[in-house]
Amino acid sequence: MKFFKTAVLFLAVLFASCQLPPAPPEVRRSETQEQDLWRAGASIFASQEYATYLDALRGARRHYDQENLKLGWYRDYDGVRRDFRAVLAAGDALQARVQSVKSEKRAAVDEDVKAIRTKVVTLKDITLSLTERGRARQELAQAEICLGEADALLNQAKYEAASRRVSQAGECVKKAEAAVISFIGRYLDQRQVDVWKKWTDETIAESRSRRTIAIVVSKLERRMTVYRDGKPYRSYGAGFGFNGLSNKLHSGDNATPEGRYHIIRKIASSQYYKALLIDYPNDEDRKRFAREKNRGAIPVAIGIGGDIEIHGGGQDSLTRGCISMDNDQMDELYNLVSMGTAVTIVGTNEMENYVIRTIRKS
Amino acid sequence: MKNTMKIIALAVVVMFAFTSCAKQPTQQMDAAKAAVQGVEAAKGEIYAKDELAKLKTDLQAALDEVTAQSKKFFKKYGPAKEMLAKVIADADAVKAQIPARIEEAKKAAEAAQNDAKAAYDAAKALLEKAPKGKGTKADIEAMKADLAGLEPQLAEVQNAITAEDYFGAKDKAVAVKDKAAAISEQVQKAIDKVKGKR
Repeated sequence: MKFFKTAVLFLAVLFASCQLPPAPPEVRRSETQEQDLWRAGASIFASQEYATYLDALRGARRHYDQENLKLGWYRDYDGVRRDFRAVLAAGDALQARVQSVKSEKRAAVDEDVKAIRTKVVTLKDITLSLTERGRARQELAQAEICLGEADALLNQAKYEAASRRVSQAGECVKKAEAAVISFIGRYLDQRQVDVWKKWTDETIAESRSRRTIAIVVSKLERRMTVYRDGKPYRSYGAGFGFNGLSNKLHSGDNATPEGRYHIIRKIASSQYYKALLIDYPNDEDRKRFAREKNRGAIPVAIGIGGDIEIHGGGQDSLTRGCISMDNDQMDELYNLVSMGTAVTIVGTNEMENYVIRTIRKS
Repeated sequence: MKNTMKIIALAVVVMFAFTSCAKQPTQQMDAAKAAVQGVEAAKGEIYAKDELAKLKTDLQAALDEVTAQSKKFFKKYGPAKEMLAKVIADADAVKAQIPARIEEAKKAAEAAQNDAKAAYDAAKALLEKAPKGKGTKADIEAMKADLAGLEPQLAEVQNAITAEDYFGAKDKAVAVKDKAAAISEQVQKAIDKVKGKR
């Protein structure tokens, strides 16, 4: 009987000592924390620290398991709790680190997005001003799509993918810049710019010596400057043809001519408000036309064209080669000029023109 | 009484011998690992990211339990087996959900693609209606080039769908749609400006 009692007591004690108490709260919290860290992307944004954290967590869990292996009265969970508290503190620090890395990454990508977006806006303005409607605009549209995707990826915290999209947008912007520079290639030729500058200087000198009004139109800058007695008197914005930056060669090329001309007719009521007809083609235009025609560059049936005017209708209009202005400015100009007033149309007077300056600045 | 005592003692010894010699549930462990790998293979990383993470944690906990029991003299693999069985059942359930999620993502990508195409076509139609010739605003002409720039991006949406990158396809399609809608809006403004000046 005594043996039976002892055996029952032994089994009861053994059973009681094998029963595990509820896990300490630190152990339970560590499970949630591990999940939270994984969800926050700790393995991506702080991989080394996360690996260290996991090592510490495994160590704490081993310690907990070892304590559980002991018989009840030998178990001491104080050390286990200390270990888990340290793990939890490390996890909290890691969570803060992950958030910080994510914020830094987001800020870096945001900054790149902002810089590329500014370039896109600048280049779009330039292409609009130059009436470039080809490769550069297409590349810029593609850059905008990539930036849109980058925005979506940033909102999903996919910073690497967002950064790749921003890089793609940057490549599109570079191609657009190259397309713009190629589009204004003629305007970067020193000899050509020297010719234009000479025409401008001569026109201003004549205005000074003859004490007359003279007009200088700069196509690249889309600007018309009125000189009185050789000094700048008025300045207006101007619009050009569908191919306004090209030098007019023949009828229907939608280009605005470059050269030294004069007003030969003032039209008080035209289809485009008021108009000032100039004497295009001049002798130089005729020679060039004949030369190109002989070379076969212009089809036989095509003429040199004419009826080039400065007219109203708005400076943002596209013409077939004329120079367009806002109506109120046309009123002012119309009253300033007279028959024979010099009109010199040049590409630009600056080698380091505003397009190049703007591209460099952006 | 003496015999009873002996029987009890023998039963205790036999019970201890059985529990201390219990084998690890290797078959269930392998099956659970295979089940989680199956979820990964079924694109769980993309379409069941959170569930897969939970499965991995649960699997690790089950394996840890097996390890813990293996170190005990009185081994008790019952709870570990239950945990492993749960991992297998959960993995199978998650895996079963993935095809539907892929289909859902595909449908969303295709819907976004259709929306983008519709926005592109609307912008194109509006541009064709825009006034042409002398007096046309420069920005209308520029928009035509902008729209042309969207064509390769629309093609890329299709490429992404073909490559089963449905989330990427959707993001791109949404960006194309937004840009096409912005073009339509700008074209309409330019048309109104042209009309207003007449």
